[in-house]
Amino acid sequence: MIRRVLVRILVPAVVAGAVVYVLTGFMPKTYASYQTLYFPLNPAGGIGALGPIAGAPSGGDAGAVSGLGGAIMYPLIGSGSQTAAGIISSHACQEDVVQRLDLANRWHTTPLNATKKLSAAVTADTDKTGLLLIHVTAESPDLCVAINNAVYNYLKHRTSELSENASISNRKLIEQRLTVAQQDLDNAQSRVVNVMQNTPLSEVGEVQRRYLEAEKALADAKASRDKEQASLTRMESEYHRMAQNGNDGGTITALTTLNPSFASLAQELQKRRLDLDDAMIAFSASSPRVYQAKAAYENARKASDQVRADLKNNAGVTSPEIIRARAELAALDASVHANEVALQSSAKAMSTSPKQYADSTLARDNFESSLSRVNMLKQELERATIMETRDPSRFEVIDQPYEDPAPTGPRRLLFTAVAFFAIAALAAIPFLVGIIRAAEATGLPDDQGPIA
Amino acid sequence: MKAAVQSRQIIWATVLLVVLVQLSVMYGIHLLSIQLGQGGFYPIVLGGDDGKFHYAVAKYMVSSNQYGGNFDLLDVSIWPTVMAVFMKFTGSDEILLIKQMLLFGRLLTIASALLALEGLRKGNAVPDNPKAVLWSRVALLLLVGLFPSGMFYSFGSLYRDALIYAFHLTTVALVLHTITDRRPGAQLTFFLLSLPCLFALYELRNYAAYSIVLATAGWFVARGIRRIAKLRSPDRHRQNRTVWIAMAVLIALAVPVLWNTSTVQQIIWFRDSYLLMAGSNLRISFTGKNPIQAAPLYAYSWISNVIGPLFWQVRTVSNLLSFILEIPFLSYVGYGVWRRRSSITPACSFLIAQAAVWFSLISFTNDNLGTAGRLRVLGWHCLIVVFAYLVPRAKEIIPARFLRSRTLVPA
Repeated sequence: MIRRVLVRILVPAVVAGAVVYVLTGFMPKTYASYQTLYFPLNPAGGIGALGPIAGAPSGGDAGAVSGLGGAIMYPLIGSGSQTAAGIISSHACQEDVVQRLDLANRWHTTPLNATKKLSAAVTADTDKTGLLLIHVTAESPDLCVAINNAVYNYLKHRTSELSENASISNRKLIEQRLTVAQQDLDNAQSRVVNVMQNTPLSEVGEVQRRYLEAEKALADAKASRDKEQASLTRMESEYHRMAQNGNDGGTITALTTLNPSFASLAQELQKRRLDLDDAMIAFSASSPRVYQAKAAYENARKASDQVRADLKNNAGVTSPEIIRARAELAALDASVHANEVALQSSAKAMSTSPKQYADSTLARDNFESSLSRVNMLKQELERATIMETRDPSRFEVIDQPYEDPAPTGPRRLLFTAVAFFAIAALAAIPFLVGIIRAAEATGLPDDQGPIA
Repeated sequence: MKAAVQSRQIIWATVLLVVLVQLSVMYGIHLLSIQLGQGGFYPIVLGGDDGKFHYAVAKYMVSSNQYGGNFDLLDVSIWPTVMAVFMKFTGSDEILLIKQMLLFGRLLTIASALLALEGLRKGNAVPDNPKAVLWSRVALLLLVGLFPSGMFYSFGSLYRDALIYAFHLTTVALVLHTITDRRPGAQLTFFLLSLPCLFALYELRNYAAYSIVLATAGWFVARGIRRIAKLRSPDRHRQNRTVWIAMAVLIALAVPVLWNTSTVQQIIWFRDSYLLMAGSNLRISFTGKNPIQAAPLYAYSWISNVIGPLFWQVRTVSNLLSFILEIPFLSYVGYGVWRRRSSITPACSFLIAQAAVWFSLISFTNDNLGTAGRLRVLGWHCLIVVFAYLVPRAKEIIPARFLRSRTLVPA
């Protein structure tokens, strides 16, 4: 078994490996040079944290970043190093390097083929720490370094142009627009303050509520007044009836109710009547005493009649109830009048409030619109600042390219290993098949039938 | 005697072929990558290359002499630390040297597949057919060894997947032996050996370890249900039906309860992060959906994750490569297992449960077809072992007494 393995697998593999090793010795040697550039990230954090803020597509995929709703475009993608890698891989860069170093003549080919060859020779690899590794392979160490330097010079030149043309100008544009927007916002804010000061009733609903309240208060006042008026009228008619019927037994009481001073007057009249009767009994009708008593009685009667006459005309009523009722009626009249004035004022306010409301709403809307615009522009400015920070022109050289005399290719041992294992694997297939066929021919142990 | 020697020769010749193919592919991909200026990583740009990123982290660890620091922002697992320690130990950051670890992972995967196959054999109460054993081993070596995804994702870059495949299959094989071995001492030994493997798997991809635990628990529950069903009816088909219905009811009860838990919602959010990071191919989101609304989407995600990309999902070169290389292979294995489902043993059902639970998990969490190609290999490894076990044991060569206890659900 081991001998067969050696003969049928190992020998062809070793031969293949040896042949490949010899053949790769004829391949042209390649040399390499490296250059490392550092692109500082934004101090706020890593790319992942900044990506959504900056509008960069997440996941590290390439794509343009737009601002102001697509009005402006940033030249950057995920980071400065990624953009720089894209610049280095661009055809323009390769064309520039081919021209500067005259690579078409050096490689004895056309300029187009030279750029293609250069494209395969230059790789720009980024990592997530912000480093960019420029790796150049060529047929001589000095050419490697020359290409690396030419690539670096192009990168520096191009990124400067990009900075001037894009990131900085974008930021300046946004700053200008932000200044204008800030001014608009200040104006809108002043207008809102003015409108609010001139419009105490800022809401139609409030005006309507007050109007309705005034209307209700007026209705209540009118109802109270009517009630008081009815009560007074009833009282006055009652007293008037009592005053008209002055010969009734209850007249004095009624008159006393209407005018409390009538009680003493009635007593005085009665007393003078008695005095007159006594004088007429004691003295003759022509005596001065009778005459005096008669005159006193007549005076009292005249006074009583005058009071009665006044009561009949409601002039002499001094009843507290009526006086109070009249006073309340007067107060209610005043209240009704005041409510009528208030209702008229509310009605006037209600008729003018839609315009005021519209003015205040418009001013407020303008203010909010200006505010959101300023906020949006502030975000855009922040984004533009980040973009500027991540600008590809901002980088430092960590490793300068240097000449390494040791060749890096072809990797002869790797070629040899691949050839060795590939041929060995290919040789192992017929080897395995041969063993299986031999086993089938002699039969396997405990064979209980055909294999499905 | 001579026949036994020939059997060993066939096995060793197959092992030799498989190992040589691994070496050829590994060195070939590496050479291609170097020649194309990719430095040993993906020779063709197929999307994001985590391997390159992990390698940079490992180099940073070595340069800063800080191993296993806080790299939460950067992901992920113990893999960068393993690489960093390896670099420190060997004193070299040569990518090809690190890929030897991945080669070790591939070989461990193949060895673990053989171990799992032995676990399936051990599950039989009767002696196995030696010829069937031989062909099972040969088939398994070739299928696992030449599994396109397994090779590509192990050697294409510096992915951790080679080690994940190895530790997953090793753990599953050891747990299977714990279940099928009838000697208590051996059972304890296998169980204890499985723990460090499970831990290593957890450190590399934690939810793969969860999957093993969940699938094992589910398998035992199904076995318990079957034993109860056995008391009620001796009919094997009726027992099977009872187990399926009971498991379906359990799942139907569990899903609505679990759906609104923070863990599940975090997983849903994790899946949505693919959409946010532009890493989504399927564009399926479960956010804001209840289990019933999510069910059809989940079914589509399940099919896409397990055998995708489907024809209409091919949009990129990598999709096309995966479609051409993977679909025929996986269809062949999947159909082979389905066709021989009547021969499935309880031990086989353990491996199928592992695959099913893993597929179910990744279908829920993963929305990226490229990632699906990496993830699903774990489940397909289990199915390949079952396939390699069943194919040489078709009914026509296996005595009826062998089939008496065989059923899709555990006995």
